[in-house]
Order: sequence, then structure tokens, then C-alpha cells
Amino acid sequence: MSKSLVVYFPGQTFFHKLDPRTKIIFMVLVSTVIFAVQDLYLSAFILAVMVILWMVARLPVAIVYGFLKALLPVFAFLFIVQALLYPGVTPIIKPLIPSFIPWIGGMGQINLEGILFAVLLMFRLLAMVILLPLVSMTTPVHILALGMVRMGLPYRLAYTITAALNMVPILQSEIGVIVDAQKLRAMSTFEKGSIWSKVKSYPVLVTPLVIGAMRRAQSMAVAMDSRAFGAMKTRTYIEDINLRPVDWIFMIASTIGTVGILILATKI
Amino acid sequence: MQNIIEVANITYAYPRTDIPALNNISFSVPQGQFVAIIGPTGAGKSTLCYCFNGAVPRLFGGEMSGSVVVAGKDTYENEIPVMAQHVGLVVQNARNQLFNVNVQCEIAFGCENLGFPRQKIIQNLHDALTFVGLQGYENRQPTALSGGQQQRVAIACVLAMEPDVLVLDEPTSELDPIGSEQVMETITRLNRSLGKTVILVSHDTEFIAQFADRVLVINDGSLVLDGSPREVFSKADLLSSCRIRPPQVCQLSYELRKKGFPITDIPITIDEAVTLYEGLQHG
Ligand SMILES: Nc1ncnc2c1ncn2[C@@H]1O[C@H](COP(=O)(O)OP(=O)(O)OP(=O)(O)O)[C@@H](O)[C@H]1O
Ligand SMILES: [Mg+2]
Repeated sequence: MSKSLVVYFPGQTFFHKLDPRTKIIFMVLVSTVIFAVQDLYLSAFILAVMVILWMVARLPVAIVYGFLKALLPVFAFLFIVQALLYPGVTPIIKPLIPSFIPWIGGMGQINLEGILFAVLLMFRLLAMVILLPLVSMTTPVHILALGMVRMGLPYRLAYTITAALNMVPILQSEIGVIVDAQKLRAMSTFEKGSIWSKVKSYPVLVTPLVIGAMRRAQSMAVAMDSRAFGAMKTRTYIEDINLRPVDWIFMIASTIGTVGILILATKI
Repeated sequence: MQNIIEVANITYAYPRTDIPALNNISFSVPQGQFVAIIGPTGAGKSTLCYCFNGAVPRLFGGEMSGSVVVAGKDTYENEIPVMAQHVGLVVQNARNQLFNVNVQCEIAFGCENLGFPRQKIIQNLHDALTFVGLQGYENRQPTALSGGQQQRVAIACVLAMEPDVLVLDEPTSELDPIGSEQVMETITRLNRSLGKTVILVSHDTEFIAQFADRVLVINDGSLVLDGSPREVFSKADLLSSCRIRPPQVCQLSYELRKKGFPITDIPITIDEAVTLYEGLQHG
């Protein structure tokens, strides 16, 4: 995945056209639900809704696969931890460590509950990591900033948040340049080589990145102030955003969905 | 003519440095003048540029004395955004001044900050893009443009804010000849068609000889020479002691004069040189 996940992915879909405020509220609601719900089926449902919205917005499905692949080691780790420590009643595999050994005896038993718990965490993690790009890839950052301002955030703060989002692809391309430069000097550990040698090569990557970022920060500060950043209390905007009926419908539907899921979650 | 810029006895040192980057510099610029600043690397040209809107010393810190007044506004009393309404600064590295997602946002940014009405922003955006010859580039990503196009976007950004003075710090130093020519042509029009006061830092003495009204030579933080291109480029020894390369027609004339040719006035453009040498041949 060379393309950045926060870069706007142009489109004309229903989800793209939603007002940024609608999407921000949606993001808050969904994060709450993901955070609160501990039930496997409900989490699966939430994840399914996210994936469906992802497809409605015509975002590349490859990105979701990418997330899945990236999360697999996490899943494996969770699986092992759960398997070893989760108190279960439905053993699938007998304890690996005989019970006569003190302290750790009886551990290593893999229970159904442990596996389900790992799967649940996996669903929730995946739903969470899809959420940000679902919003940031369907909304140009300056529109997102405008949405935040209209919701009452100070402009400077909103701009800083969106500028940070905007920096990600710039830093990424810079990393590419540095890696290439180091490769020319016969450093190849970024691609091959053991994990340890990769870790050791990080300063070579990070030092120019940080120095470059700091230099850029100063000239950027000059450039931004020279363009009257933060001058007026009443900043104006060339773009305009409007809540249309579809925004209200979407917001009401998301709220009802959120409340519904939360009620279901407490009953289960 | 009224002076739009008044610089009086400025001396400035960056934080944690002993040697001042600017040393007792004074000059004034009448409205509508095209002023070129030349000098070797490290002379203090960029530092001087930062003084016009107060970035030096406000953003950089350090010790400063003297005063800078632009359009009647003193940089001591007015913050950078206030100065920015009168001085448009295009900093040395174009990449660092383009930080918005697309060209439209980039150019609208300054106007939005100044609180221009929406209709006016749209108008200024359109006018500025047309002026720099980049109509239709509204949705392009600024950092993905060519160097010359980036510089022209950077010029459009400050132009849209309707400043009286434009300060451009080496806008062509990293450009190929064609990109360079397009940027210089744009800068000339800023002065000639729009009547903007232009302060241009550049090593392109050929261009300066042809288009600037006045040249300031900065060396080691001091203003060592202030005059018309003709006066400045006639001073072969002083320029070479400041490690400044004069226009090639001037170099040629210095050499010919050393060889005993009767050249009293150094020609500073090709056309002048042609006339002079035709005269020499026939005379
Ligand atoms: N941020 C800074 N902190 C400390 N010293 C600085 C800083 N920026 C510049 N200087 C120093 O101040 C002096 C003048 O620098 P300045 O950048 O103004 O030169 P310049 O004429 O623009 O050179 P160039 O042609 O290379 O752009 C130099 O000696 C430089 O090292
Ligand atoms: Mg400089």
C-alpha cells in the first residue's frame, strides 16, 4: 500500500456528498458503539455495516484486505494470549502444560471462549481502523476543517488537525526519498535484512526526516503567517457546506442505530 | 512620489549568534519601484526579506534595532498578519509555502484569513490564476506541479491578498531556463501592468539589468551599493570583491576596456552593447 490512507479519494457517491459535520458525528457515534459493545454478533454487525459503507463509497477494497493482513500478527498474538490466559469452560485443546507443574500448570489450554474473544477483538479493531479512512478518504481535508469550525472548533485547531492529516502523504513521500538515497549508498536493510538490522537502521531514516520536518516547520510558519494565518476573528471560506435532507436522514438513522445497538448490548 | 517602504538603520542578529546578519541598513522605496537585491550567499538577503513583514524578528527571535515601515505600518507595532495585507512575501523555497491540498485552497487561504467576502475571494482567485497563466489548475495538488508552476502559484497566493508590495526571494534559483523565464515574465508584469512595488532577490543579473529600476548590493549584512543597474554594474571591482557575477555583456566590456578599448559607459544589455560595438567598429 503505497498510497496514503488519509488522502482524499475523489468520488461522487452518496457518502462522499454527505456534509462533513454528518460524517464527524457519524464517526463519534460509531466509535462509541465500537468501544461499548462487547458482543460478538453485534460487533460483527457493526463491522459489516462499515464494510458496506466502504463499498457504497466505492473505496478500494484492497485497503481493507491490507488492514486485515496488517492486523493478522495482532490477531495471532491475541489468540495466543487468550488461549493461554482466558478462563474458559469449553476446552478445544487439552492443556499444553501438565497440571502438576506449579504456577503455570494447566495453562495453554485453548478454550472456545478464548478464541471467540480474540475474534471479537479482531472485529472491533478492524471496524475501528476502517472508520478513519472511511471519513478522511471521502472528504477533502479543507472541507473537514470547515466542518469542524462550523461545529464550534477554533479555526487554528481545526486547521492544525487537518494539516497534520495533510502532512502524512508528504512525510511518506519523503521517507521514500530518504530510503532511495540510503539505498544509493548501499543500505538495503529497509527492504531485506533481519528485523534487528531494520531496527538498527531506523536512525538513518528518522534523523533526516526529523531535521527536514523541523526546517520545514520554521519556513512553513513564516509562509503561513505571511499569508495572514490567524489574522481575523471572522475568517471567511471560499467553500460552503450545507446540511441537506439526506444528511439529517443519515444522522437520525445513525443515532437510532447507535441507541438500538447500545440497548441490545446491555440486554445481552 | 511617496515612499511605500522606509527602512531605517536596521541591525539584526539571529538568536545565539554574535555576528549580526544585517548591519545598519537604511533605504527607502517609492511606490511602484522595481528593486533588485543582489549579494553573495549568506549575505543576509533572505533575512532582509523577512524584515519587511516582521517575520524577523517576530518569528525568528533575536536582537533587532532600527525600524521598518511599510505602507505606513511599523513592523514593531503590527503583527505579521496585519503586515501581510501590505507585503506579500514569497519565501526562498516554494515547496515550503505550499501546504494546502489544491491550488484553489492554496490561493484562497490568505484571502480567507483576511476575511474577504466569499464573492471577492472567488474573483481574486480567478484573477490571480489568470495573471500567472494557470487557469484550470484549481484542483491540482500544488506540490505535484513543476518548479516554475509552483513559484507562479506562490506568487498568485500573495497577489490574491492585494498587497502593495511583493517581496520575492530567489524565485528562479532552482528553475530550468524556460520555467525561469515564465516566472520572471510574471514578475515584470506585476510591476509594469499592476504597478506593484517589487523587491526581488535574484542572481539573474541579466534580467535585473534589463528590468529593475534599482539595485541594492548586500554583502556581509551591509548595504554596500545602492543605485541604478547602470551605476551598479559599472563597478566591476566592487562586484567582484562581493563575488557577484555581473551580466556577461558587462564582463565583456570590462575586459575590452582593460585591453584599451575606449569604453566610457559600460553597456548593461545586449542591445546597448550592440550599439556601442557598432560605434567602435565604425569610429
Ligand atoms: N535561522 C537562522 N538562525 C541563525 N542564523 C541564520 C539563520 N538563517 C540565516 N542565518 C545566518 O544569517 C546569515 C544571512 O543568511 P541569509 O539566509 O539571509 O543569507 P542569503 O543572502 O539569503 O543567502 P542565500 O543566497 O544562500 O540565500 C548567514 O550567515 C546565515 O548563516
Ligand atoms: Mg537567501
